[in-house]
Amino acid sequence: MNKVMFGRFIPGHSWVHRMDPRAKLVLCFLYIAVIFFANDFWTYLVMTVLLLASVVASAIPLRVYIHGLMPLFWLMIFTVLIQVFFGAGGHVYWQWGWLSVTQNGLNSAGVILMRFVLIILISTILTFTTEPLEIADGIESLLSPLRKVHFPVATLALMLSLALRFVPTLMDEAEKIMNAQRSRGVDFGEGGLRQRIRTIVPILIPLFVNAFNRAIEISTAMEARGYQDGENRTKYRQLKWRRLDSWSLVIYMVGLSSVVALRYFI
Amino acid sequence: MATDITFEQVNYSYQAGTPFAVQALKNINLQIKSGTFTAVIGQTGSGKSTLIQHLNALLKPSSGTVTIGDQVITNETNNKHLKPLRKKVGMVFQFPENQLFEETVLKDIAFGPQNFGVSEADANELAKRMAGEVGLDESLLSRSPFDLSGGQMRRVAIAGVLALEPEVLVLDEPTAGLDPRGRLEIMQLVTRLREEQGLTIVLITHQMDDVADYADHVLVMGHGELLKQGTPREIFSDPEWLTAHQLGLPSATRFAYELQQAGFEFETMPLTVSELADEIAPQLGKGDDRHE
Amino acid sequence: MAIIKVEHLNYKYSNSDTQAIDDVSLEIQTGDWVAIVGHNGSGKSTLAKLLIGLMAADSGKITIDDQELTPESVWQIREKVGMVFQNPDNQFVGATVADDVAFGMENRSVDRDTMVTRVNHALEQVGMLDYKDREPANLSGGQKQRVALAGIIAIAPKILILDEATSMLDPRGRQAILQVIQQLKDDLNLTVLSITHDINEAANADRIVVIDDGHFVEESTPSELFNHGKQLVEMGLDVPLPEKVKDALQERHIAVPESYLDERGLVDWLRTSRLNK
Ligand SMILES: Nc1ncnc2c1ncn2[C@@H]1O[C@H](COP(=O)(O)OP(=O)(O)OP(=O)(O)O)[C@@H](O)[C@H]1O
Ligand SMILES: Nc1ncnc2c1ncn2[C@@H]1O[C@H](COP(=O)(O)OP(=O)(O)OP(=O)(O)O)[C@@H](O)[C@H]1O
Ligand SMILES: [Mg+2]
Ligand SMILES: [Mg+2]
Repeated sequence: MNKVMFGRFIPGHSWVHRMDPRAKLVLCFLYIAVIFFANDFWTYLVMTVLLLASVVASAIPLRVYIHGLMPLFWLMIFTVLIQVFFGAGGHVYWQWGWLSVTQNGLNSAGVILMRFVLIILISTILTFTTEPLEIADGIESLLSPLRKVHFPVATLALMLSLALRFVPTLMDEAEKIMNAQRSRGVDFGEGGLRQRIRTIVPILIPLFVNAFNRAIEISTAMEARGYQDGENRTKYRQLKWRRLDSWSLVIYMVGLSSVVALRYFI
Repeated sequence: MATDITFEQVNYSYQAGTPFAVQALKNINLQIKSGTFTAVIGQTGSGKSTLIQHLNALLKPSSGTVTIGDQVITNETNNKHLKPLRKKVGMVFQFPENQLFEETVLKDIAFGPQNFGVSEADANELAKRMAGEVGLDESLLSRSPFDLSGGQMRRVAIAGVLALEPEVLVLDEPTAGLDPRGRLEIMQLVTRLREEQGLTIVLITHQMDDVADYADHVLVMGHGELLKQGTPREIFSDPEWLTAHQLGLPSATRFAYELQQAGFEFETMPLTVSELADEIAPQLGKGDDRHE
Repeated sequence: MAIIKVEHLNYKYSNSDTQAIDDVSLEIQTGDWVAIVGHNGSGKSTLAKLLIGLMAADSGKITIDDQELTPESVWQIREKVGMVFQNPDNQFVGATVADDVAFGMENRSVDRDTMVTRVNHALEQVGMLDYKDREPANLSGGQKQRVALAGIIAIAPKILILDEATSMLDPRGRQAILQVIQQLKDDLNLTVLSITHDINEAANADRIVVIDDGHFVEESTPSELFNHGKQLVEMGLDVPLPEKVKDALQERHIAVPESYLDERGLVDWLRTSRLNK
């Protein structure tokens, strides 16, 4: 549990760290959308350059990003193999019964792998450089037009930020409970499926009971501090759109629109 | 059977190899003799909890060796061979009531032994005995552990660890959050276990009075290092050093220093109220003379 | 003048068959520091929650600052009362220190500029300004409790209720918090109600209220209460050191004064007794 890097925030003061979370969210979203337009070497090259430039601008070593990909390694291998063996068409390199390795199979495996890695990496840049709370703020701000139709944007954002706030606490708690049960002789991750399911009970029940009690205490504390409903509150945190955000937007727009242009007009 | 515990050049880092790595133990060398009562003290974050989790190999040293009885734990030790150790070293964590999960108190106490191959019937017998040991009424055994008071839940949790019949009992601030009566009862339970069953006790505490009253060996942790070790008398003989490391004195000792200012003389600084009284009684006039 | 007035208060949890609060009446004077003591489960936290309307009493009347607590007045009353709970983790709702201090003000729709000044001021008062942008995971329990206090300062209440606010801290952290509270009480002329098992905290109070199994037992000054000696343990308190020393001396056949002495008093008495030898 200690080694999971995916989705974690790494404090820093880089260009990307200092960006407005709204800008990061929008760019990340656009980037992922445009990945599906990329279809050849040149378009993927532009996407890769854009990504690497962002990695450099985040001042976090590429090594750390690669580390972040590791938990998804097997998923990637699996998807690639499926594509290799089941993609049909083009030159056949190898065949065994209904399994075959074909030109098209290899191509689409390459494309899937490329898309997979790019999508994971761009979202990792977002999570490495943006505090979860800032992401919540960003989402709230981007969704704020929905207020007009009485959608409880602020309440949802507060719920999201509270949930994020207590993720580390609950992780700690889970680890403590696991340690306590290990000390009472439970072997996690051993034995058959039935055995494994049995070992989950001594974790889940205390975890659930604690989370429930904690939730009650937290809501009591919030109410004691004057929390009534989510919508009629002022906000302490404010997002600031700066020149750096506009520049990032421009750079991305140039890159992303060239990908679309390469695909359709050249 | 002696279960001496030895740490040799033990280092430990959390999340080693990531940008979040924290070195929580630095070059720890120490020995805990079988049958002793060792107190571990130190500021918050000094590494006390990290240290004791090495005693049953919940954490394995990043480098160095920990020896418990005849078992040697290093970074390479395979997780498969740790089970006998888990039985030998019982671990009571902070707020241990957070680990309760069974439907009844009896089942919860009997859970541990069954993981070590004890039959259900034998485990239940053991559980009843341990419940008595920690002062839980028989009538509570069929209740849900979640319906008990805080103090009672804590006893159930301790009984659940005692049911493993360990040789070493490790407790991380077992009295936190209890009222003074509850605190006293838990501490008396711990001393009784040591005296009657010869358990080795390792106790993390912030209560210097408890250290003075019960411990015979003290480990002082600070910023991941073992700053000092010795008998309570040795540790508490240097108030300036303790203050510099954000630690206090037992209240009797602190009071004795005040009396020293007021002209009293002490051969050795007292650690407990009864030692204090022994020292000052001969220096006092018989009070009743004055009330004539 | 009584700032808190409780008359014949009753409360029973629906899933329990005993009264958690049983016909409790008491008055708390403006500007006092009152400790509430009692053993685990005696009903202290229940009383505190009733006082700010977090639960509604079954019967009885609560008046705070001349305003009766009713479902209509409960939000106005919470403006006047700040409360700090036991578990530092479960009351830190902000993402960072500054956010958490601002939480109460956000709820009261304070405008942002005022918030910024008050957050800084409040953090300054509790000595946590340097930690403004820290996340709760990187703070010690004592630091989190200071942040909780800062959140209360920012609201400027008249009454501060502490429900074992220091019990999960180490002795240093505990002392530091108590000092901050004392300072605040003097600066802001607060009335403080502190629920505690800590003998030193109780000793510093102006008055002590003892609760036992939901009943009001007595209200007295610390020195009156500490005369109870060993019985204090039944009240959820430790025996004060001077009482322990007197007991030990008595066992050694030395006559000691009957009435309660604090540490200073005992040192003085021992000094004279030594000189009279
Ligand atoms: N799971 C973890 N991951 C990363 N760092 C940790 C972890 N647990 C503890 N630490 C860090 O290791 C150091 C030692 O922590 P430890 O819990 O051993 O201290 P402690 O002396 O038990 O403190 P306390 O008195 O507060 O219980 C601290 O700096 C802490 O932040
Ligand atoms: N949510 C609840 N449901 C049912 N009973 C409860 C609940 N909360 C408390 N009680 C019971 O009400 C009584 C008073 O509890 P309360 O929490 O007020 O005690 P306390 O004096 O604050 O104790 P402590 O010193 O342990 O904090 C206890 O018997 C307790 O078991
Ligand atoms: Mg600890
Ligand atoms: Mg309480």
